Amino acid sequence: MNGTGAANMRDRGVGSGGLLAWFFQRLTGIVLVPILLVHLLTMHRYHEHGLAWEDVTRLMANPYWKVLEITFLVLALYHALNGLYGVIQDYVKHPAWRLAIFSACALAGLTLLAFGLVTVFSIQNPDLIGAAGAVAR
Amino acid sequence: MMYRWHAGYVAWLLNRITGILITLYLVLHIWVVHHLAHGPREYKQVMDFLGSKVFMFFELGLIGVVLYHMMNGIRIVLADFAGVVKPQKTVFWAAMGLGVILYLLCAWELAGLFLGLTRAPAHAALTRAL
Repeated sequence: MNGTGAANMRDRGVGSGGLLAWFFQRLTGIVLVPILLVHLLTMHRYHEHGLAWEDVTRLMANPYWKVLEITFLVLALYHALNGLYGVIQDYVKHPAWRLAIFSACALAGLTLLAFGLVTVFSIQNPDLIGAAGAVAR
Repeated sequence: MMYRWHAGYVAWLLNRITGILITLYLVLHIWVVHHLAHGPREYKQVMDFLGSKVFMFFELGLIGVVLYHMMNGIRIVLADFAGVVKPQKTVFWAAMGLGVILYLLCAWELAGLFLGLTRAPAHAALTRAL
């Protein structure tokens, strides 16, 4: 099969690396459903808890919640950026451009993850640290 | 990339559009929640801003977008992993029905808060304290 100088399908922007992305998009989607529901029912029920800073940070100081939030962050960012990259793949066929955009998506994801991790980790549990270690006011 | 309009095409297209919108929201959300780490005063400022009436419409829109994406996503997963391919149209509309029900539940809660019909005692106490 000869194209205009393309030696193989990869050169035409049709790669074989889509299987994992396809699979993980669905897997992360499935896991995100219960995590999102838990997130909404706890963090966003402000008319019961008032979404007061104290209530949210009390939840966030708990390390088990921290793990849940971090999981949420990682899965949501993966799902979002993988999805975005999938849309881009429909319009961008050139492999070099695809690599550039893929790298940009990966970088954006890691940056956002880092930003979110800072938030999650900066909320500390005063019981573990002691009176002097309360969150800076 | 034009194709004849039919239910499956529209479902796919809306999934893309809602996906992109949610991604943009996610970025915004991470930035907003980041204020949590700056202490109660900053946090209260941001939350008061977001609690203003105009944002109710944005939140209602957001809930609709997320629910659509979730329901359609469930349909896709059922098709891709559970082999529910032939009755897809029925599954799609059933999922949309479920989505509408969930949306009404969420909108009810949201309207209750924004229109001041429900009390938020803890929030009020903290507001007074600050």
